[in-house]
Order: sequence, then structure tokens, then C-alpha cells
Amino acid sequence: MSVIEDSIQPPPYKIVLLGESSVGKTSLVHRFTSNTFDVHIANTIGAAFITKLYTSHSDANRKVKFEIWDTAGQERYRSLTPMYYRNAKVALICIDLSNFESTFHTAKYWIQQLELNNSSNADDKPIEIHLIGTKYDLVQSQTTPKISQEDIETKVNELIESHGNIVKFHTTSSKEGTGIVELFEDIVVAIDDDFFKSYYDKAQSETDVQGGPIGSILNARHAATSGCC
Amino acid sequence: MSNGFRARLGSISTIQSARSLFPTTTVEPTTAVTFTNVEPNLIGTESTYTPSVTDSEGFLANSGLLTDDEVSDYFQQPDEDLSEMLTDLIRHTPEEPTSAKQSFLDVNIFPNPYDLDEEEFYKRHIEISKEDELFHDKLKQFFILSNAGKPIYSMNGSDEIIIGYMGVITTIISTFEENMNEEIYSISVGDMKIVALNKSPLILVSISKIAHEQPNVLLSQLNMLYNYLLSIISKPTIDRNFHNKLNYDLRRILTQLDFHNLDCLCMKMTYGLTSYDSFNYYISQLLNASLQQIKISYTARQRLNKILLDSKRMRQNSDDKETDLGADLLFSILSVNSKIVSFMKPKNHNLTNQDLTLLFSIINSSKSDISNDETSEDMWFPICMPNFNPNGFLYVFVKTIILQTTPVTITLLSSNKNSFYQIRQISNYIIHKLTKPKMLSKLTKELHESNTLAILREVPISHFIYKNKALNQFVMSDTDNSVNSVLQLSYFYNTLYHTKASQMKTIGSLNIKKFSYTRWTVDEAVITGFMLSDNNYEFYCLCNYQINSKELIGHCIKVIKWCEKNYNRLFIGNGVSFT
Ligand SMILES: Nc1nc2c(ncn2[C@@H]2O[C@H](COP(=O)(O)OP(=O)(O)OP(=O)(O)O)[C@@H](O)[C@H]2O)c(=O)[nH]1
Ligand SMILES: [Mg+2]
Repeated sequence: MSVIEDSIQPPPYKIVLLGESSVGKTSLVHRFTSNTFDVHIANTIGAAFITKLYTSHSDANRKVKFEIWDTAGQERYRSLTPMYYRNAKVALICIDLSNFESTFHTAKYWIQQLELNNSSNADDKPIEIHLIGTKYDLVQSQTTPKISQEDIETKVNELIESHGNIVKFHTTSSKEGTGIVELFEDIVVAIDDDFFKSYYDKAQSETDVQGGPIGSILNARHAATSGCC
Repeated sequence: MSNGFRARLGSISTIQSARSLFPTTTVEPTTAVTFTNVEPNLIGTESTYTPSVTDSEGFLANSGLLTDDEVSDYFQQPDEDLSEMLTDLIRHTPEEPTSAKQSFLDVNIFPNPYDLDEEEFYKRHIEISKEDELFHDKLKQFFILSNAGKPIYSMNGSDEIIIGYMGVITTIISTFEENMNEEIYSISVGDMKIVALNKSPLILVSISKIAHEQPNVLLSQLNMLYNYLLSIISKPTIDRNFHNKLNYDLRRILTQLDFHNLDCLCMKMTYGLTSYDSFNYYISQLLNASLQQIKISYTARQRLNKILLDSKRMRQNSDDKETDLGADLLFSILSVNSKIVSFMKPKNHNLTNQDLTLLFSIINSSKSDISNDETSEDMWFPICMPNFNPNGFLYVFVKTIILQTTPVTITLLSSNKNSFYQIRQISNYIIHKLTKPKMLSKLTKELHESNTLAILREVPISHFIYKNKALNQFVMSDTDNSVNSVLQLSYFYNTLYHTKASQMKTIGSLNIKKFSYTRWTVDEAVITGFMLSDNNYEFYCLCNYQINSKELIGHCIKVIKWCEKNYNRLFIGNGVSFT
């Protein structure tokens, strides 16, 4: 990998979070971006777009600007969701371990939707899916869980085997802050070297031509007339 | 909610801004007056508004109150005389208000049959509770149900409790069924007022035991609740869901946040509680959906308007293709704490104040302000603006940036659900302009000062509202948001607002002046409410000093003149339009 120039912004890397309402998507993002947890967090309306610079802990050259779409799980927003996963590299599909059956069902719905999307954009690289089992703290201490850990694992494994795009299953607790840094570290480490190389090559050549960093070449052209009001 | 109450009980003072005029040396919170045995004395020749406790004996009986003639005389004084007189008046030092703990209970806003203290009263009669236990003690109820009788929302109590009200509700429904064109149903039973609104397939019901809440007020509250549902779901979606499925459960597509928002709406419409902007909301609704303003210099406002206009015209060149980034942008709003600083709209369209207020309520309910050098967060969500278009959605981009310490919110409304990235670039441009050093220092300085209305340091008026009638926009002095203050202020203004005004004799003038005057007397201490209006403005104020009414009018006129002089700084007007 070439030496990263300070003047060049790290490459954007788009991630979308999907899953039933209240599975803990926003809590996961907040734990990652600001290391906080709020029990009284509000439901997301529509979606939130969060950007965060992240440098891999194991390789300082792996630097990305995560562009995270935290979507609302409530059904009434479903028609908007395709816009959020368009061009996404990774989808985090969340399942609430303390409410497995129903949230697992919704997770399958999202996997199908992503597959439909992949097949319609044949030229793009398909979205990689990570399954996230959230709220691990709630089931860890349970003595009589509604569904056993083994049953959960079996169901998840079946799902992974039948869908080629599912990369991995992670368990997290946003409350206790476990599994989350590891998840994003995993994602960054797994990015192809080529992705960085082609990004920086392109950026470098543009910098040479235009003598400025890429990213915000906005061209605010103001109409000569301002006949308003 | 109860936590907030407890935390705020410490600093009880109805009307705090007057403190700057009369500094005290005590460390204890200074409070204005002790309220005991308050009797509203409604003054004015035709006063008809009667809160529960009043009879007509107090009218005009008090000395020191003015007559029509006196008021009109006053207005005929030339300005120089007026200002001379005002100087005299200001030198006169009113008695320092007595320091005592006061409570909304002492003002007799609500009957207190069990003789509870403030906190107990609040918990038992006011605070929302989904437990059935205190259901019948609550002063206010709201229900939303489908016209098949399926409960959707109840302000208090559980689903089961609504069964208890089924008798009333079935009667209402059958009335509506008999005559489908009937939209409103209203009855009074004892001290209880019941109003229902038929928005088939939904029915909204309000039941109030609060004496100063009139049926027309309850009706507009029901419309607000209905508009909230429209804003998140839209009329066609509601109709589609209920079509052929009379038993449809609307709650399937509502979230916890929606129920929370409905709760918040109920509380702020009824009491002006419980968040920082609830009292502003209450006053805004009282003044007929007037929009609250923030003071900022004319040049700063012009510059902000220009930034919004310029951003609308942004284009981007990439791969030899030129994109018009602002093509789908309809409205741009810069606001500070839900008060609009700058506004851009299409030439032939506008958002009503009701829609704007609704929009801000929704934004506030789910705003999270994580942003630093490494992280930023934007919101993007659909909303139906019921008065703009009840049948479709607009898409809202929201981002809050902190300019030094002031949070400035950028809200951009687009007609296209896929335009997020374009709208975000527009937002980036706006942020870029706002944070340029010169703009930033000017803006932060002005926004910092905007909260204190200088005029209040010069007059012994504790709290005032000035509304520009043509614009339907108002400015109001700062309010301390404790439960006690809010309940009292909202009661005082409500009473003042509904006190029938007397018309002043004006000879040969078309600009009709009106006034009304209300007093709440407590021992020697008095709270005076005064309203003055003409064709252009409505002015309301509260004063908690021993003051003669002529003096009070002098001060009011001073404030009114100040508002008129500062018109450009106080009012945004219609904002700026693009064609
Ligand atoms: N105990 C525990 N609770 C959690 C955890 N993560 C989230 N929660 C709680 O679960 C609830 C829902 O969390 P959110 O993060 O809002 O869920 P969401 O998926 O973003 O929901 P929508 O925005 O409606 O789609 C909140 O009350 C959180 O406090 C966790 O790891 N442990
Ligand atoms: Mg969320």
C-alpha cells in the first residue's frame, strides 16, 4: 500500500444497519461512535447518516471514513430503505438475542431484500452481510431462556450456510460495550488491499491535476440575478 | 417527568426577569408575591370571561383602575410628553416584592379537594400515568380510537380503562354514525367538558376538568393530535390501512417514540409542560398558532437568507455532467432552539405555522447531537405536512451544529426521497459559510445576546408577549421553565387572553385600540395582567409590583414602541423566496 498522504481524506466506506425496530441498531452505532449507551434512547425516525473516521488498531495504514446508515426498523419506513443500501459495502443485520424469534424472522426478510438488490445490480460487488446478535448481556445471565444458545446457533448457522453473502455472526452488547469495536475492526481488516490502492491512486492523480484535495469540490455557482422576495 | 419537577422545585419564581431591575442581596431564590385567596378581578367594561371563582362584584370596584377615557387620554399625549413622563416613572421605585415560596396551588388554577402539596398534586392530577389507579383523578384525558371502537392511544390509564369510558364513547360514535357529516361533538357534564372530533376512520376525544379550558380550545388540541398522526403516516396511508379492514390496529405502525410524542403533545397543549420549549408552544397555540421569534440584527438575517438562497442554486460538476443539487429543495430553515432565524421558501408556496411547529416537535423528539471532528450525524426522514399537502410526504434533512455554545439547526425539506446526498452537500455548503470566521463571530455574538431583551431592564414589567398580527409572529421575554412558573404563567395569560377587551374611544381613527386588565390580588401584593392591542399588534404583560395602572400603561407603551422600533430585528417576516 502506498504511503497515505495527510492531505487526502481516507476513503469512504458505506455500511447499512437493518433489523426490526428496537433490536438495538442505534445503540450499537452510538457505542461505536461516541462510546455511550442510553437506556432511554428514542426510536429512529427515517434514518440517520453517521460518518466516522476510523483507523485499524492492527494496521495504521487502514484508515476509512465510515458512512453508516442507521435505519429505522418500524415497518412504515420500509419503502425508503433501498436508498440506504444502494452502494453499501456491508450490511449489519441485527437480531435481538432477547427477542430472537420475531427479530430473526425480520432478519431473513432483509437478507432476501438484499439478494434481490444484488441480483438487479449485477455489475457491483454484492453487499457483504454480517449478522449481529445484540443485547448479549440480557441473555448471558438468563437461567431459563426462551430459546437456548444452541438452538440460536443452529438456526444462525443454517442461515449462513444457505446464503453465500453472509460473512459472519457476531454477538454484541451495547450496554456493556462488548463485541462492537471488534466488529468494526473485523470489517476494516477484511477490506481488499485493492480498494485502498485504487482509491489513493485515483485521489493522487486528481490532486496532481487540480492541486487540491478531493472530496469537496463544490462549485457554488450563483445566478447573476437575485431577484427574490 | 416527576424528576424534572423535583429538580426544579428549588427555584421557584414565577417571573424572574424582573430581578435584574431590583437586585436583592438574598441568596434564596427571590419570588415575587405570596399568593393566597386569589380572586381574579376582571376589569374592563364588558368583561365576561369568568374563571370558576369569580362573580361580577369586583368589577371596577377597585380604585386605581382605569376607565376607557383615561386610557384614550393617555394615547393622545404627544411622544415627547410621554417620554418625559416615562422618565419620571422609572425613577419611582416600586416596593420590592416580598420573598416567599409560592405555588401554583395558591393561585387556585385547579381545585384541590384532597389538600395535597404541589408535588402530590402534580403526581395525582397532572402527570401522565399509564396505571389505572389514578386514572379518574386526572384533570385531562385524551383518547384516540378507530371508529370501530378499537383503542389507539390514551393519555392516561391502560387499554382496559377505556372500556370504562365506553359508555360515553359509544354514544359519541353512534352520534357520528347517525350523521356522518357531523365532525364535532361537544357536551358538558358538571365540571367536565367532553369534545370529540370525527376524522373517520379515526375518532379523537378529549375530556377536561380544567375550568379555563374552553371547548374550542379542546377542539384545536384534538386537531393537533390528528395532525401529528397525519404527519407521520399521511391521510392516504391511514385510509388504505382501514379500507376493508375496519378492525385494523393502527398501533402496528406506531413506535414507542410516537406514543411518547403524543404524550408530550398532550402535556404541552394542556399545561405548557414539560420540556424546555413546551411553554413557548403553549403560548404559540394560545395566540392562534403564532410563531415565536428570535432577535437578531437585520444585516445578519439578510446574510443568512442569502446563504440559503445561494445554497439552493448550487451545482456540481462531475464527469462532465452538471447536476443541480438544489433541484428538489423546497424549504430551508435555520433555527436556534426551535426558533427560526432564517427561512427560505418557493415563491408560491409556504408552510403554515402549525406545520412548522409540528415539524420542530418531531425533530426535537429524536435529535441526538453527537458531533465532533471525527463524527457527524444527519437525520433524514419522511414527513407529511398536513396543511401543505395531506396526501404526500416531504423528506427532511436535519443537522445540528454547535456554533461555540449555541446549537444551530439546519433543516432542509426536499420533495424527492432519493435526494439525500444532494441535500447533504447543500447543508455542507451552509455549514461552510456559517463557520467562516467573520460570520461565526458575528453570529455567535448575536445569538448569545438574543435571549435577553434589553427593554426589560428599563421597565418594571416582569414578562411580556408582543405579537405582530399581520405576520402572526410573536416575541416573548425569557421564561423560567419550572413547573410552578409555567402553570402560573400559562394560567395568567390564558385568563388575560380570554378576558373580553374593551374598545377605546378613538375619534376619526380606523386603528381601533382595545385593552383589558386583570388583577390577581393577594393581601397587599398584586399581579397585574394587561393587554393592549390595535390593528397591528397584540401586547400582553404581567407585572408583579405595586404599580398604578397609568404607570403600567406608560411602561407597556415603552415596550411596544421598542418592539416597533426593532421590527426588523425581532421578526423574520416571510423569509426569502426563490422563483
Ligand atoms: N440490555 C441491553 N439493552 C439494549 C442493548 N442495545 C439496545 N438496548 C435497548 O433496546 C432498546 C432499543 O434500542 P435502539 O438502539 O433504539 O433500537 P433500534 O434498533 O435503533 O430501534 P429503531 O430505531 O426503532 O429501529 C433501547 O431501550 C435500548 O436501551 C444492549 O446491548 N443491552
Ligand atoms: Mg434506531
